[in-house]
Amino acid sequence: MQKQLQTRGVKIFAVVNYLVMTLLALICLLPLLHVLAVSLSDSASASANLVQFWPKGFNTASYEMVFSNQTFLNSFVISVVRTLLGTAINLAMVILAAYPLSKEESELKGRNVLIWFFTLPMLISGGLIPTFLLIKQLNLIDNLWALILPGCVPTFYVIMMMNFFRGISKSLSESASIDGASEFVIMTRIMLPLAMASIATITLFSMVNHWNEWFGGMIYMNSSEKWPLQTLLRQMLKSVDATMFSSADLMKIKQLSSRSFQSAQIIFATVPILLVYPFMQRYFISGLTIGSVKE
Amino acid sequence: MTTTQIRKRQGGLRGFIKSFHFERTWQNYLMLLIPGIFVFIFSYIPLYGLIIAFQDYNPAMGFWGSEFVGLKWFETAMSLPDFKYIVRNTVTIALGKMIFTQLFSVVFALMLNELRGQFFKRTVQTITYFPHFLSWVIIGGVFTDMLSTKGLINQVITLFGARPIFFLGSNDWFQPTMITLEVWKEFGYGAIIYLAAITSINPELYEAATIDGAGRLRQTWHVTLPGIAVTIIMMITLALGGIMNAGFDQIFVMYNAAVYATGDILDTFIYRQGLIDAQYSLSTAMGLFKSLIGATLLIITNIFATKKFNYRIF
Amino acid sequence: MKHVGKIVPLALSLALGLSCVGGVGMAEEQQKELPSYFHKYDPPITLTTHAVVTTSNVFQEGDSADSNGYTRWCEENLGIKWELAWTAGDAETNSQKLDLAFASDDLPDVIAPSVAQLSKYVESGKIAPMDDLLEQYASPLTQWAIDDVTEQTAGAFFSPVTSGGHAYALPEMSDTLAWWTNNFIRTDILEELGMEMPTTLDELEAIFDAYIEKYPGHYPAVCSNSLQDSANLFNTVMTSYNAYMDMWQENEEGQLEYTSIQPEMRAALERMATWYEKGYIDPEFVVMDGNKYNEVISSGDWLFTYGYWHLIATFCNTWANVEGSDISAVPFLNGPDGNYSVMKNAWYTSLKAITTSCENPEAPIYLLNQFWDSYYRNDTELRDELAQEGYEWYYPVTEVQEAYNIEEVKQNYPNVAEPKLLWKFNYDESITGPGFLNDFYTHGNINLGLYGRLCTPANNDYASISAAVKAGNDTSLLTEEAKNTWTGWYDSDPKMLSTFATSYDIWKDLDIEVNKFSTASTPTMVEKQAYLDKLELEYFTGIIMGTRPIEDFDKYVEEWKANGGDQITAEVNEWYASTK
Repeated sequence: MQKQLQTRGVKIFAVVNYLVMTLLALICLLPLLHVLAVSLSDSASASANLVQFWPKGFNTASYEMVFSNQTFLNSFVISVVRTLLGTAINLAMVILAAYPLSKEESELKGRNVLIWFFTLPMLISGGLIPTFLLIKQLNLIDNLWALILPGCVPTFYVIMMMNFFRGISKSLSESASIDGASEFVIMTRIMLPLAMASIATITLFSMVNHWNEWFGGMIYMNSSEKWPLQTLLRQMLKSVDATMFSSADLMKIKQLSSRSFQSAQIIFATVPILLVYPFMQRYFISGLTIGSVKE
Repeated sequence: MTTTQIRKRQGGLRGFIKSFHFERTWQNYLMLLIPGIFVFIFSYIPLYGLIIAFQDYNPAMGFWGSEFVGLKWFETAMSLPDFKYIVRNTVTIALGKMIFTQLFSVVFALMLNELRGQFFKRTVQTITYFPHFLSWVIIGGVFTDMLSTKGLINQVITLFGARPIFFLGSNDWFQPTMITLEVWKEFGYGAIIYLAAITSINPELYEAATIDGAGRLRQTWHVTLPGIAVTIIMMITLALGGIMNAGFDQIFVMYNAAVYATGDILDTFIYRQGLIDAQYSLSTAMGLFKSLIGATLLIITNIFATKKFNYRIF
Repeated sequence: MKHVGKIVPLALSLALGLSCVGGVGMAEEQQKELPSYFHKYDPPITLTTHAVVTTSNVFQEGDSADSNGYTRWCEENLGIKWELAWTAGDAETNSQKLDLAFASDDLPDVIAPSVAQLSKYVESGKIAPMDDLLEQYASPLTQWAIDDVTEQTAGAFFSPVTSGGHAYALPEMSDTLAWWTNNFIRTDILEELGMEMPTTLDELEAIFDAYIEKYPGHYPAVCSNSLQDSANLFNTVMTSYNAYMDMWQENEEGQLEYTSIQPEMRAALERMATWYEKGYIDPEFVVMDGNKYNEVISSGDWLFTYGYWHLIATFCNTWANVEGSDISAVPFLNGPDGNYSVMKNAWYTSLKAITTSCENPEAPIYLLNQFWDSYYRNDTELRDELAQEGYEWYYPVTEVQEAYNIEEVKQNYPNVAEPKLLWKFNYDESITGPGFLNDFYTHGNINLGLYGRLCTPANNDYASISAAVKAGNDTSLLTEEAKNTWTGWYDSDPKMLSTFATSYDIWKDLDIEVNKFSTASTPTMVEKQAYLDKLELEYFTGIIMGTRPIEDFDKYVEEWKANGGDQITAEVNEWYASTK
């Protein structure tokens, strides 16, 4: 009897769960659909906010404008390069820092101090001017590395990875070290494969961060040819400065305030990174399927 | 004392260096050195700039030549009549956002974990993390519409016979609205880390629980939750470090003169000051203020978590 | 005429200059001796500057911001090579990067600072005095333009950039009328209601009442939440009450006082509150930002608003979405005192300054001289007037040519904001000068060096557009520049032209009051102005929305004074006294 009730309870729960999940998915999807619809609508309707979830006055003019814009495609490439490179470096740095830090103070002296060394930057910063001066002195202005090197060891990921390493059974590394494996080998051969979920998470977060970051591009790049995509997008979305007017700018307002055009740009800049997650999902597997030892 | 003991307690510099046991541990230190250098260069060197929080910074005089004014900027800010409630708003909104976002993320991750159909599960997962990518500049307008007295939400409310609420124009509703919107935007993305944590729970623990006769609910309570407890504590602790950042982008796009009393936060205050004149000194002072509070909270929470619950984050 | 006084010393330097040049053996190309105000550098010099380049700036193929027809012309004709230290995507970033350049002691030769930035840089001795340079090197044409503008602005032209008796920058001359703002009304709805164009505020309210009766649940007037913006609907009421926001006016004792705390403002607020109460404006106006405002205007769901003349661009959407809609500007309305007045800020749009690190500070002045000479070469009236005073024009009058690649540009660049900038003209190669170059520098979108157009209140171009509209779209009345504008606007929507004409007519004869305080913020302003602005916005919004009684205005005045207002007033008057 109890088993029957339990099964019924489980079934009801499953149904409710599915319903709730569908609802949540919908409320997350709808705004995106709205933006998509606006991007495919004609300018007048879009500007008057007459578009809901379906295009009004369907046309692809905005996308044509985006694709024909050389700067846009150029910035896109820059963003891709920066994201891939930046993520790779982030990962390397984070792993190199997290692995030793996951050890105890007794195993690694000074570890307790070092963890604060890596954590402090998350809490406190010197500000824009000194950072800018430093980048300038290192001759990194107008250079892609200015977008990658500063902040290439994000504290958050280090702590995350470190805790993950900690959760992996010590006996694995101990037995390996008894067998004569060096720290490097232990880290690469044993720890990393087990930490795939964490690595996948950090990869995802890092890619998203790099892709979305726009401020660095604005400050450190001297010309629009070097801008990453989000910097370009942000500049486009800002309303035209009313103090810089001439009759020539009249046409510019018409174009810039075209919500249809703005929406197309948003779709274009957002979709690539959205597509990354589904591919990452297969890495979110249990890391303990490989010869684990019962605690 | 035996001779080995005496030898162990070898004092002085040599003893100190020996205690590192470099012959065993050099690889670890080497690994730390590489990221350490970058952190030092890009995060520690610029810290000298903090000095302008105590100066009347003039770029022409530079960092060392500008006039030293001590705590003047802190006093200036704190003497403004609205400073108290600006800080209060910042903390309230930030706390609210943090608590509810984490709560929803955890619950959502747990519920998602219960889904059987892989395709459905993955689709929901992917869709719910969409909103994270839309910047507030873009979707702020969409929500302003939805929350207006004639908008979607109020249409539903009036269906139930209640009076329409001007969410974004009422001091009673502004903060809850901001928190709710933030949860909407971040719960899917925030759940990712919990999902990752769930997948790394030892499946044998589940097996053991099933053998002991535990149903799904009890399994969740006794296996899953403890399994991700460290992650939860870590997220909360780190979020507390950023307690003074209540989300400038969102507030800036949606706040207005009718809700300054509850909606004005530290960052909007700094922003408005900067409009008059690029005030590097004041914004650095405020930044320092934020950092100090955040750091203190972080340390306190960490100590609390470690001592009371035996969960180590750092 | 007033500028004769300037001509004499210039004539002298001209003579001196000529005597210097005359001695050197002349090459074949030099048909005449150059007056001293035109100069070519040989070997060429390099000048650095910075610019805002947006995605809507389109270049000819292979060209870029620092390499195009204009820069090539500069190099060939003046021996000036331009180098861009950086380009920014918008004004805010541009300003930030300028500050960073200043912090790293690396300012370009020619910069475009804000008023606040300029005063900081001047204090540090980084800026060369502009007035000295102009006195020495400006041509009679340049000088005339500056005098003209100074007169129109009642002497206030240089005051934002003056300190210690010297002017340190050249405010970019753009149309003073680029600032103008109007009431606008939907004449089609007016007709529907069977009512006349209002001349007083009361009459306007009667129209609103009729509108609400006919369309209950709709709001006749569109008001955005930026009350402190000079294009906000609140101005309709304020102008009728002789009230102004956030400005400084002179009282009978010759002292400056803040306009937001005056009794006139109280009365205006009271009136505005009744507008809110009666449902003339959307009760949710506090959340109506610029985008939402544009949405409402575009949708056509309105009767009346206030805004810049260039709202005609947004009106295109209204005309597209609502058939038969028609919009006209409405003259300022008389208030209870039977009059109205308009106050505007001093019209520096942007400033150009020359830094002390520039090795050839006179070069931008030469550039300005030559540029204007070319740009206005075909303005025969001006030519005659100045030739009479001894000014030797460099460029001859040139016959205007047709652009021959209009169709090609339309096809290849369908969405470019300024397609005419890509047109190619079949000018003879011997004709040079920026006025005839076919890329955007001819229309001043990216200004390298000192730039801008001549500034006249009855700006000839706009005047001709208005005249042409009134004569039944008679395009023969248009000036050259206006022809291009005309075509562009006509293609978008012919109503742009007619509505523009109604707006222009109001402004061309308007007597504007000028905000008497136009320079960088005083020390207390730097600390407290942001807070005071917020205080004001909170109070005023509350009073309008009815969540605060009108008596709270008196509380506001008290708080304003106590929290820095009095101090600021003292500092402002200190500055004011120093300019007298």
